[in-house]
Amino acid sequence: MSEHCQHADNVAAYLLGALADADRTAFEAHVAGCAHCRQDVADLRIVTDALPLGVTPLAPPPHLRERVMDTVRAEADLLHATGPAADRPRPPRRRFGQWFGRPFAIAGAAAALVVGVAVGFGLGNATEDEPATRTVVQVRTVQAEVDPRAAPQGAAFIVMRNGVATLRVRGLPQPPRGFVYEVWLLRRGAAAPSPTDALFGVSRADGSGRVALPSVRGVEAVLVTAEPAGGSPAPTTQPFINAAL
Amino acid sequence: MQLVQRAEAPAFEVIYDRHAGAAFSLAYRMCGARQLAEDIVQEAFLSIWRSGGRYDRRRGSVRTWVLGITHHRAIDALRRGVVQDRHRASDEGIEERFEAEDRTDREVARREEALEVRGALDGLPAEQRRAIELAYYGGFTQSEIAEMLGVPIGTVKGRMRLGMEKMRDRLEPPAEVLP
Repeated sequence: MSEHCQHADNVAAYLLGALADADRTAFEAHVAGCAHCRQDVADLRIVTDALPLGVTPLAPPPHLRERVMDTVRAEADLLHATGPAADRPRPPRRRFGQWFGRPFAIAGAAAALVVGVAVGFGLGNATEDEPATRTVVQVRTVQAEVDPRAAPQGAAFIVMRNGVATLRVRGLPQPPRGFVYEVWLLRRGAAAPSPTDALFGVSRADGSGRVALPSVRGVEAVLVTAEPAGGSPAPTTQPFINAAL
Repeated sequence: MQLVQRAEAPAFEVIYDRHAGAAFSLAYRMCGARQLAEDIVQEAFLSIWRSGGRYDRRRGSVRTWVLGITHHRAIDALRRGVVQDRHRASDEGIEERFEAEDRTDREVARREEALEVRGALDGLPAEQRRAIELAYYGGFTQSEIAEMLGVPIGTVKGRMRLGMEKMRDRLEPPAEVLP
């Protein structure tokens, strides 16, 4: 065993992940300044690189890939649409009642069309520990009105699955450079829409995109505008998507 | 990886397809519950996606990097107490039902690698193998292992160290002999 310094006997435990958090932090600080321990870590790392490969090879379930890639695609679209400014902090929100002096309306907006209420069956959270159970999955889809001047080929839907709402769009143009699409919720009795954290971009290939919405309980309409990257506390452009719930 | 660093989803898809099997197998081996293994792998890959720029090729292959992150995530889950029975290696018999089939060269290679590493581990004296398994796959700290085995912590350190040195000697490719 290497005895070049008092920390050498922690090298194996460090590589195996067997140091408590505080000990690991202290050891990492030590290694940064100790060439002997660094070499020791490098010499034994081949073992911890190999250990994860020594387990029974299993096939990951296909739905895991869908879950991961759905999130990745949505975030990639958003990043490409907004650029580095997407990460900047949002400005403080203002009270809309003060900002909007008149009831909010979209020119020529018609009531959104409810195209379907589906009740289906699915496997709810089936795991090996718990037998699969049949659960009712309630899906309601609301088609939104899309302003043809802003998006001649555009279509938008609100999909509500067991109370969780998602906005799905297709055929939308890219937001103007430096802008992002922002979702707003018009609550019953409110004079102006509330902002949400739901900012999104759309795929360059087909203008599609999706974004999860906050709770739509008590919401009369879901609106979308193009806003400067990072979003706005109040709409700065006219909504071009309007889904009446 | 450069494409992943530029937030290109299709490039990330390739990374996922290449390494998700090994990551899922490791997470499942560590936590012994399929649903939790899925959550660990999802967390690991999303953290990789969100920090794609941090990959440093000097520190090893992409696979080593992915599996290292998966291992850390699994240890976090184990130490948060998400797993009820950490002594249990896995749900009995589940591996047999979900074992990857040898349909591709990659899966055949994975199985061969697993056998080689398993051989190196099984070749250790039982007490050294136990210490390494409890640490790496069980997520236990050296203090916890010492308590479980009823031996001083210095003994646990020594067993882990000796076991790793023997495994290294067995796994390292033989040095080339120059003519």
